[in-house]
Amino acid sequence: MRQYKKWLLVFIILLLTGCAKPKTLEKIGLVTTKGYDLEKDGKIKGSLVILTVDPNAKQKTTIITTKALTARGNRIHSDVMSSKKLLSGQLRVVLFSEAIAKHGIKPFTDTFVRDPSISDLIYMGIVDGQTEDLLGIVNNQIPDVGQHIYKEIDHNVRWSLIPSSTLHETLQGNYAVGKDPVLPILKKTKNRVRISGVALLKDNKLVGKLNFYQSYYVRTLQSPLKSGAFEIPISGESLGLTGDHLPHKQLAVALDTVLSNPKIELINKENLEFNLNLKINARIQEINADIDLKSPKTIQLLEREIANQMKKDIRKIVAYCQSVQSDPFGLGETYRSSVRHANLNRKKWHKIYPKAKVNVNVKFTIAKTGIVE
Amino acid sequence: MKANYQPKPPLLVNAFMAFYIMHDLQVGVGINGFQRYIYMYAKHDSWVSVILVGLLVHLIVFLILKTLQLYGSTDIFGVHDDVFGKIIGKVFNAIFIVYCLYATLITLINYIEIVQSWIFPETPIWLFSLSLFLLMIYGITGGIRVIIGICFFNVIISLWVLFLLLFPLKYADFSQLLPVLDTNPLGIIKGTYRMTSTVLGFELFFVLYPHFKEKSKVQLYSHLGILISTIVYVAIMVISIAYFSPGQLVSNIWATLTMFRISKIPFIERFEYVTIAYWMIIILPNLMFYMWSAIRGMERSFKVVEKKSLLIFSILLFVVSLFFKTRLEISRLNQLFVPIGFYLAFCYPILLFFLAFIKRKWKSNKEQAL
Amino acid sequence: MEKIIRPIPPTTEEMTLALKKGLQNSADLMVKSAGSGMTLLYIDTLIEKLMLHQDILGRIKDESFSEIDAIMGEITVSDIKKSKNLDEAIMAVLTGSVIVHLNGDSSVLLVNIPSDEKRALSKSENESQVVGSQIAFNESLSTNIQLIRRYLADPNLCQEMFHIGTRTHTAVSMLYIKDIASEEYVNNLRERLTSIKIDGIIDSAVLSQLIEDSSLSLFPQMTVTERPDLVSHWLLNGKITVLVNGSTLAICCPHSFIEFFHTMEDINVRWHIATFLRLLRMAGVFMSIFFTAVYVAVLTYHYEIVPQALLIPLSESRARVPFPPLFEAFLLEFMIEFLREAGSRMPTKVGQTIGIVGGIVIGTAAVDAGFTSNILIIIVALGALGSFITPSYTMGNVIRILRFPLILLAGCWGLYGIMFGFCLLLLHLLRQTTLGAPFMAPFYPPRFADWKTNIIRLPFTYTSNRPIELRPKDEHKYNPEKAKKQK
Repeated sequence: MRQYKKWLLVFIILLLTGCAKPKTLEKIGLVTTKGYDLEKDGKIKGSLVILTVDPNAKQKTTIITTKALTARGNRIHSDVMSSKKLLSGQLRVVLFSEAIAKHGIKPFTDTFVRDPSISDLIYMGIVDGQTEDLLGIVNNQIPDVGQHIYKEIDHNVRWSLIPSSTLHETLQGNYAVGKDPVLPILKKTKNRVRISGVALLKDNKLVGKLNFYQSYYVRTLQSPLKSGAFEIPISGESLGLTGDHLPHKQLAVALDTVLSNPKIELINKENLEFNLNLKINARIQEINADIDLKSPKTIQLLEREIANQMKKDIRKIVAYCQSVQSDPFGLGETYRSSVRHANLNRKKWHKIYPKAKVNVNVKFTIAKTGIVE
Repeated sequence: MKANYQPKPPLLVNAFMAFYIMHDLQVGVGINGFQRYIYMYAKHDSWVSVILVGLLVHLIVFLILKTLQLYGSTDIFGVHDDVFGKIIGKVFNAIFIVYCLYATLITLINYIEIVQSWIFPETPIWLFSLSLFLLMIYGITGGIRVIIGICFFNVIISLWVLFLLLFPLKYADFSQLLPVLDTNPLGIIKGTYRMTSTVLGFELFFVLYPHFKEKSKVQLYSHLGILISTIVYVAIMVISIAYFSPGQLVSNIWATLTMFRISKIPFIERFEYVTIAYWMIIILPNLMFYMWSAIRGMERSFKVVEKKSLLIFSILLFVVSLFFKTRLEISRLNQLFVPIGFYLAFCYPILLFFLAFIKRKWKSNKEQAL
Repeated sequence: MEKIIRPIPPTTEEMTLALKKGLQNSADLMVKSAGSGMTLLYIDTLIEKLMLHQDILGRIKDESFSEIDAIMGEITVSDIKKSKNLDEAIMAVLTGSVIVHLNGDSSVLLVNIPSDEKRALSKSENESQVVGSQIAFNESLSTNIQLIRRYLADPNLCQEMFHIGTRTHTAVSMLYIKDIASEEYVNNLRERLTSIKIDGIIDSAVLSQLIEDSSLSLFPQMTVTERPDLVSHWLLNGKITVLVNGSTLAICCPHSFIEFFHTMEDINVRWHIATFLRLLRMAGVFMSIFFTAVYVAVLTYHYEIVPQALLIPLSESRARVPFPPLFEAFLLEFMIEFLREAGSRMPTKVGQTIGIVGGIVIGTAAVDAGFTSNILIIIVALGALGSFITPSYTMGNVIRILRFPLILLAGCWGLYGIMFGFCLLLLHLLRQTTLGAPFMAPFYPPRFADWKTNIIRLPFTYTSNRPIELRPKDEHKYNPEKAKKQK
């Protein structure tokens, strides 16, 4: 037995000789954001935002921009331009320019998912304009543009203002039979980052864009919501508001604490027909006109007015999505999961989807009118 | 060799430990990525395949324990000796020992592959292999009680891992399970067949059985263990189908680990790094049980001292483990294990039960005639 | 080899000579004639002088006796015996006896009147507690037994005496309650005590190392305590206690791993608090062992698992440190160990100064100089606190040194290394026994009934049974049925 223990000791010492390769925190450059642009010669221009950890440094980030043929190639080129080994274990956001997205983002998502150090919860986004410009934003309010963009997307997703666009969800949408992912569109406006809408994808390629107002409907129709805020323009005619009663040109209602519950029903298998039912329950925050909210009749009218407006908006969005053959609502999933032996695949779905008839029903209820009547 | 084998009282454990041992043996390195192979055949009805396998295991374990109960207190080596006679029995024992070593090797190599591809791609295999063999040797020389002890601890302290399954629920879409039973039955059966290699481990009750104190209760507790591990497998399967889309699930080698990676708590995120390292303690009892069964067989059947065969087997497997470097080689090794495991652990016990039953009947008839 | 019994020489001259020779002409050997052929032989420094004059000299002086038995009746000391063995007489002189020798008689009287110089009973210094008695053992064996007997007025409390050490002849006493303690453990311990071959033991801490199951193991398998109340409590549960003359510590066994983290206060305070304290201790110990190692592992290998909110403070604090995390951690851990060792060897007042110097001066300066990161200082300090939380000093020391191999493993292999260390530790613990009983009970072998008394602590109304891991003969502390009826 003694002999055994002696050998154990020898082996443990032997084991300690074979250290793993260290990736010490302060010796590596942490890439927090990546952005990809398409160059005219077909090369990919990659911009990496690297976190600077020196507490005394004024500038919290370093940006390295390189040109290469592949996304990986950009990393290799960036390494030879950096004082530290660049690693993407702390990557949070990946941005693509529209030009890249139109060519397809599959090669990029593929490398990300292959790399065990990259999280599945990184946000993907499309940039209206050049990503290099967007990532170059530096001002007193944004010391670290990488973190800024991440937090901006993150809190808007959390409060349900835009659809979530993590790597996992993008991939899930891309691989699913009857669903397509959406990505937020970011835009540089007045030296700030602004989320200007969502991009519709089909087979990893950018095919259409919706503005910010429309993106909220996409989010609402994807899954039940428990929060969110919303501003909706309505026509004042049915409320009897005309001319002088209107303080502005357009009557609008601001809603918050939206509780919504979408339901997609397949009502005809042969001649594709869907019912898109949406139940919304919200609190009125503001109306830019003098309306008596005490009277139940007014409330009813208002509810109907808002529902009608929403119906109109949703119809428009669905029609647009059908025209670009992208299905962000998951109508195809409903079809697949309710029809036995459908043998649906992506190609087939994209073919029949534009022909589908979609009936939109909206039921809107004003739950509260704030803490005063 | 006498068919009946009664270990000394210090080597006995309570019957309710059968629950922990069974659960631990069934949940091993395979749970990290079993979804893919089943999904290939059974599609979104894979969970049916998992349940079918669970039922099958219940049946097989019932037969295994019944076979052993025919003899009172014995292990598979004694049964072989009795059923097939001295020489052929030895051949069958040798096959079982080789199978145990193969299972050890499979577990070891698959774990090392996970560590290498997720955490330390540059670190050589021999380091991981050596460290695991050190732990194995240290544990096995402590005797069966130490092995069962670490198995029990492992089940208790690993409960937290189940909480990690709550995180994927946020992104899960359970409508992906619909329509239920849409896949053709052949696909489900093919999936069931692929699943069998994941839930292996129960066949070691062939060797462990004499070490339980109250033999009559082993049946009850081992079935409870199977039930729990089946529930765990089904839960993971259902969540994976809801979390991934079909294309992702088929291409993902380690779907469970991929689900773990989105979990985060305020001071740790990316839990897969923790769980991969943590998996060491989950596979350690499996490795030790298989290795121990092999050396038990050597002692029971070939009268080789336990320590000697432990050392020889460890060195042998250590050297062999160094040869499996690429994904392709490991995949081939795993593919080969599927039929072997299926025939040896699922089909053979049924055959053995009937052979042993007939043999006992025949023997008792002869005794009565005398 | 049979030992030859040397008889007592009958004449006074021969006896004096034999004794002087036997004691190597010791200067403090007194030979006093008490008239009419009687001689008293004793070592001056070992006996109680008052008793010599009152109870021996005062009774037999100026009288003449014809035989030794008559003298025995006169002397009013209770501890008195007759002997014909010279070696026994010499041994008796060395433990504080007076030899009464009558000229011409071949047997002597051994009157035991040792001077009992001892420290007064005082407060427990090393195992202090807020709620409960404050008394601690002192160095006298008889006082210590008396203390325990005062707590346990049970006729079944057995006391067995041994003399251990070929040179020191230290009196060792084994105590247990006959109808509770398991026969197997008592026999086992008795066997171990009688089979010790050593020239001498000075303290019970030495004895405990001689009789424990595995001396190669990192962990102590028997505990030592200076609290008579704790010893009495354990005796009631069915443990065995060993007391050593000249030592303030009592050995208690069998003692499982988890019991090293129990205190008397757990029993004294109310059960919610006791349960909380026990879980807190476990968390503290776990933290103490693994915290620094995890820091090293994460900073060296697994930067991915740091959440974003923690990333910036962590990397900023590390930015100026010139050493790799492994070296940094070792530096700071050794610094704490230096301070601790320095503090414990110093007089109390100076010790406090050391603490201030270490904590404030060196700590702050090290961060200012960029030697260590301040986050590591917090972690190391927490780890040190966690090791102080262990009530048993011997176990606390183990916790203290366990950190170093784990830090080394973490520095080499990250989390994989920590897990390797953890598995090795668990296997090691599972292999240990305490007096033949499993060391990891009640975790393994699982004794779920003991979890409510040993891992958490439920109210006494729910814990009518003694812990079964000690295999007590009488399993019930009281009969729960009866207690209910009386209510």
